[in-house]
Amino acid sequence: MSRSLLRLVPVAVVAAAVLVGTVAPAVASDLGSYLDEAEASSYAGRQATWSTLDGDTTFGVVSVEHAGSMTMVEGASGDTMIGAGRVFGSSGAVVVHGWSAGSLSDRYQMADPQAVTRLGRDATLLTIQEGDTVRARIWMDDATSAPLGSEVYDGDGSLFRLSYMLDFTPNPTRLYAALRDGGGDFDVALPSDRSSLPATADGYGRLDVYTGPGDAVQAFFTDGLFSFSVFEVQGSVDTTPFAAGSTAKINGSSYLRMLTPTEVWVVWKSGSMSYVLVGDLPPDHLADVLAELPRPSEANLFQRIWRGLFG
Amino acid sequence: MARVKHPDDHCANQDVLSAYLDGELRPGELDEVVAHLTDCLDCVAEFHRIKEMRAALRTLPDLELPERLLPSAHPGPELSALLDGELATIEQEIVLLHLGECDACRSEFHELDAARTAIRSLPGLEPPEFLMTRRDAARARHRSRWRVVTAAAAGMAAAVAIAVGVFGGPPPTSPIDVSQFSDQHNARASLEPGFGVIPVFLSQGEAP
Amino acid sequence: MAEELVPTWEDVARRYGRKIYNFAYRLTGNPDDAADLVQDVLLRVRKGLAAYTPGSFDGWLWRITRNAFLDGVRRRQRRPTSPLPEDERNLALASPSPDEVLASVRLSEDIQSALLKVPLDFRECVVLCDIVGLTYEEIAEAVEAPVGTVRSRIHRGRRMLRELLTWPV
Repeated sequence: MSRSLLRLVPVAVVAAAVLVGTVAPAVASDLGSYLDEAEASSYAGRQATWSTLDGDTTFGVVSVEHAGSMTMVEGASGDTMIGAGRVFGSSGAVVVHGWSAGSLSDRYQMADPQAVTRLGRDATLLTIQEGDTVRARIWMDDATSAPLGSEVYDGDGSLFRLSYMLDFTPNPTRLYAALRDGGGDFDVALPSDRSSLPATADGYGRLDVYTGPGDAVQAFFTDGLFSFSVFEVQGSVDTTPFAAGSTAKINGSSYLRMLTPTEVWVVWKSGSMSYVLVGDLPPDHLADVLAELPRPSEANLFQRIWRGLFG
Repeated sequence: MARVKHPDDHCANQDVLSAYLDGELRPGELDEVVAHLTDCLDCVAEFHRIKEMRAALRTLPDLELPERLLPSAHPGPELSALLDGELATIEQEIVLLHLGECDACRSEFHELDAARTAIRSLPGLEPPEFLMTRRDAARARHRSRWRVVTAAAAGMAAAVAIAVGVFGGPPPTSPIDVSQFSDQHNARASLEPGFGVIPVFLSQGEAP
Repeated sequence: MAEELVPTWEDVARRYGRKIYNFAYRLTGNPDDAADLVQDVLLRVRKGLAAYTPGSFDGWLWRITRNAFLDGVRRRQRRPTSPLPEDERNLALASPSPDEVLASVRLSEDIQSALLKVPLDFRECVVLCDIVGLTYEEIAEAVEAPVGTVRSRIHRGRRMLRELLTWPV
């Protein structure tokens, strides 16, 4: 299937000093405008993120720099550059092309923005409601439109993820050292129509399907606010990278689930196919989504397969 | 010691006595109560007993709220405990929310964290990319220090650039390199307008 | 920009924190449990403030407080280490001390011990009335029971207390 590109991204990305002038505070009338401005903002700082799920919590701190739709993240084990459909890591790079939904699912409404102070700066607090509950809150810097912090809530109102800048430098000038020059080695994820997954799952639309990595097939879902990918793999999956996870009972079936500060991972096998889900969606959405995806298989074969998978 | 005859034997609905004391009588009850009390010594005695008990309760010392319970209270040793994953969930949330709102503590936390990272990045120690609570700290995490990227042969005619990067020691065999899943997901997710605002991310160099 | 009509959780802590603390202390007899409850309530208020629609703030707050308290009770019941309220303590024991301060302290401790023996339903209504100072209407809203029931519980609670303090168990 061919898709037109929403954004024209030059294949050769040139390392350059990025200079951004001061951004006048715009009158943003809806969430989409705020998000667009955030993407165009320029800032640097240290960011802390904390997530909790069923009593497990994880927490991490990284340095981030954002400019020109790209973000550089420095963690304890190296730099990564993410943005505009590409990820450049310390040991590889991948680029995908896709068509963004561009808008929020209509299950979300934005409440009136509030003027607040954050990090000693004038900021605006955006509240995103899903029906009666607050689903997310985002603090946006007035001067630069940069995000200063965010909170994501589970369906019962409990805090699921909390993230905020520990310090904040607007409009830094810096060289993106990790940027690969044109012709660099990167993997292109090619569009595919091989997915057996449904076109929608709990209000999330399956916008794109790609091949890879390896023999996997990736189906990308989003509702405009949160997103997740489900990778389908024939046969069994090596679960040692998920040793920090645990078995969770969701909708009556058992899944292997792992939480990182920014993502939740779910791994399971259904018949002869393994599935790996990764995304930032809140737990109640996750449960509803899993209900619409292939369930872990229950055949008599099941116990043998299960033991083979998880030991 | 003489035991007063139990009021229930004599008068129904003595609740009015408490309501009377609390100024919570319903319209019309006042006359009833006054009339009855004029009449009934048992109830008068009960009235006085309840009045005395109520007064004793209301003069119990009112305790001061410990200052440390205010949200604006600055956590001290809790910051280290937070980094060690030693705080209970509620306390942890409160400290984290305070950090979100307090510049001073945030910079102290920043320094503490930097100090710990420096210590942990000394040779021989493994730097954690994120900290776990005690509950899951016991579980070992394996990290792939290498990635093999293979081209997807999907039958497309387009030119495909293939990158193979191998770092560190000999690659262990694995049917799937799951760390690439995160990259490929985030690559696509970065095309969505909300990326980086709500779905904030950590470095993709390490396996989940 | 919209005005900040909704109080911050710092405001709530400063205005109501003390009452919540005393409520919890009188209900549990334990300053640590009371502190935990204050933190739990403040956290719930913090999370709930975003969704709070103007109405009876006090009623909303006391409902949250009560629910947090009951959740705490359930949590503590699973942990065998907390002292049980049925702890047998002879109340009318020592001879009264001539020192007035000591006497009032002992009275306060005696009342607290007796309070812990009163069933929770009655105890919480008495505490909300005589310690926190809510009206019957407000208590009814907090405990989600009719005013008549509240009135009855308050009276029976006080009476039970009185009897416990006059005769040793």
